Amino acid sequence: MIHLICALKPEARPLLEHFDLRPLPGSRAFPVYQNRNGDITLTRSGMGKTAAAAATKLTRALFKADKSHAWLNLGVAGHASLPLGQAALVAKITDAASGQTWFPSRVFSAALPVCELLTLEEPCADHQEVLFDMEGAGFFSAVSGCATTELAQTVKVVSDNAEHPPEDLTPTRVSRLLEGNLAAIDELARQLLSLAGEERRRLHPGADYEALIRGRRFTATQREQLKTLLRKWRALRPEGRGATELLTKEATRHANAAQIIERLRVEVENAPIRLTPQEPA
Amino acid sequence: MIEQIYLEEAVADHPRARAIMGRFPAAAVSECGRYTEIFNRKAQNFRLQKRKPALILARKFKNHLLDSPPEYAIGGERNYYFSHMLNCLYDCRYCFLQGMHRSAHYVVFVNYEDFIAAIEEKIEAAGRQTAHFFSGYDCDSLALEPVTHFVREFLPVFEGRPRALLELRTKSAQIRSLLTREPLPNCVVAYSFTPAEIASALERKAPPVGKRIAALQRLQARGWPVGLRFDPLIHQEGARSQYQALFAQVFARIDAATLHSVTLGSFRLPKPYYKTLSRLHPEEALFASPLEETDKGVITYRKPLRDELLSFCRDALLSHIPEDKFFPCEKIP
Repeated sequence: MIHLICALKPEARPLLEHFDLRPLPGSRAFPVYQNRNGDITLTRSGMGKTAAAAATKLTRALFKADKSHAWLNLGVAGHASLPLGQAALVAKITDAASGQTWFPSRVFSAALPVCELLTLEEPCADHQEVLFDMEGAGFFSAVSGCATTELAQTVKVVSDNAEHPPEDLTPTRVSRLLEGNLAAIDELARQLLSLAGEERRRLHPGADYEALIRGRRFTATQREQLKTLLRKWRALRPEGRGATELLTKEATRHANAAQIIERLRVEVENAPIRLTPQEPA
Repeated sequence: MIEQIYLEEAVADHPRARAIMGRFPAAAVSECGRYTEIFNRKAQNFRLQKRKPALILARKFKNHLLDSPPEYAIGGERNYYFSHMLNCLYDCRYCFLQGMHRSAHYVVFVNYEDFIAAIEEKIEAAGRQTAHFFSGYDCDSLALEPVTHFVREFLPVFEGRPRALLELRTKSAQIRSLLTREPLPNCVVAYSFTPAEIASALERKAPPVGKRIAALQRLQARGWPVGLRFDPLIHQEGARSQYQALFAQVFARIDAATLHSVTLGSFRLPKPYYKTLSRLHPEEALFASPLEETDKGVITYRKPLRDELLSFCRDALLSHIPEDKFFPCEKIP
């Protein structure tokens, strides 16, 4: 699952259309949108660091985001020399007020150039050779508690520079700047979504686990034992059998938690260790 | 190869940092105060970072050398290890680095001069005793040589100091820097091996066993002292015959008479590292092996299995080499 966080309506508009995001019913402090698949959301924070942090936290709570969720902060920013409409991936975020820094790790391919971002408290027309905005640090301060630095990224589109002051910006122009970069944003979001999917498969115990605990009483310790045994089972795949296949046989269908754990333990103990050769690159 | 470089402010003008950065002209460069702002911070994922590690150029301020545990010695009276680099180009599933670090980024400490001063100080202090220095604990000693020039800069320290010895531990075929200079009698190039069937499953991105043997053979022919490291020993179905075949393959091409040393050790990890690794790679059969925890919190193969494989490999190796070159690490804490 990926969560897009952006500040303003004109920034959100092209993203809502592109990803076919619909408003979530219900009243909240920030408008939240989601696609039909349920794997892409967008939260509109409004301007400023505090608002960005609060919107990110709301999104985190609303979708019970764990470390398998990806996050993308999108919006416009100023820069001294980059051309208007240039999108850039952010490698370092500095909160101008506190001096705190964040370094999102780039573990995917991206055609976008890489820049540093300075988050300011107030709008600023004194352009420098870094991107500057008013939300990035707020987003990162909130997201760093729940996401890994590889799955939390920021992309900014240059909206003003030394030759084009921010006063010239209109909502329509802001939307067009984002629209002009939808292909790159889409590509990045898909890559993050794919990585998030890998992490979900790694972190979650899987369908076998859900099937086995359904309708049975497992203590917390037994649940952890079951997760560990299922992990080992999947790694060993004794005789190519799935755990559910074995454990839903008539003989074990009515087994209790302890019996299931013991059955799995014996199977894992007796399985031969066969390391799997890696696929040729 | 490297798309992102993080540069510590303290080494921004260091000539070695500038030279290394010059080898990656297309990489994005971000400055940081200390490398720890990026490396090993919370909420990092080693497995994800391993897809595209960044390079961090930093200064190491203290603890340039550390005492090496006696069970890892290969005949030296004083033993030290050091790491000019953290993390490895390769992605070996059994490697403790994945359990030790949250980050997969490569950290290169560019202040070699401080490491060298510390080594010289220890050599002086050792007097007439032998002092052994092990590189390759936190990284592969040779794999990033074209970037770091580590070997080129450290070898001269050992010239004319026969009571000091440097071990370069590696799986790399990057041996040009060694072949293009005169060999040093007190620098051992030690290659780590597992059988090809195990290496192809667990030693991702590392040169295949055949290439390592070929590199070892060329180094030995050039006059470099070479070592063999069968550590960790890994169990799987057919492991005995696979190790037997590996030893036959190695000793068919390596001259056992001029071999410096051979070490042997079972797969073992501190429990917290094992837990991290098995969470990072839940699909890996290695972590579903018959393991046990020792009294000191080390995860290793259950004793009968461990002893059986160690004993088999010890006997097989001693049919090729004399006992005085054999340094098994059989004691698990």
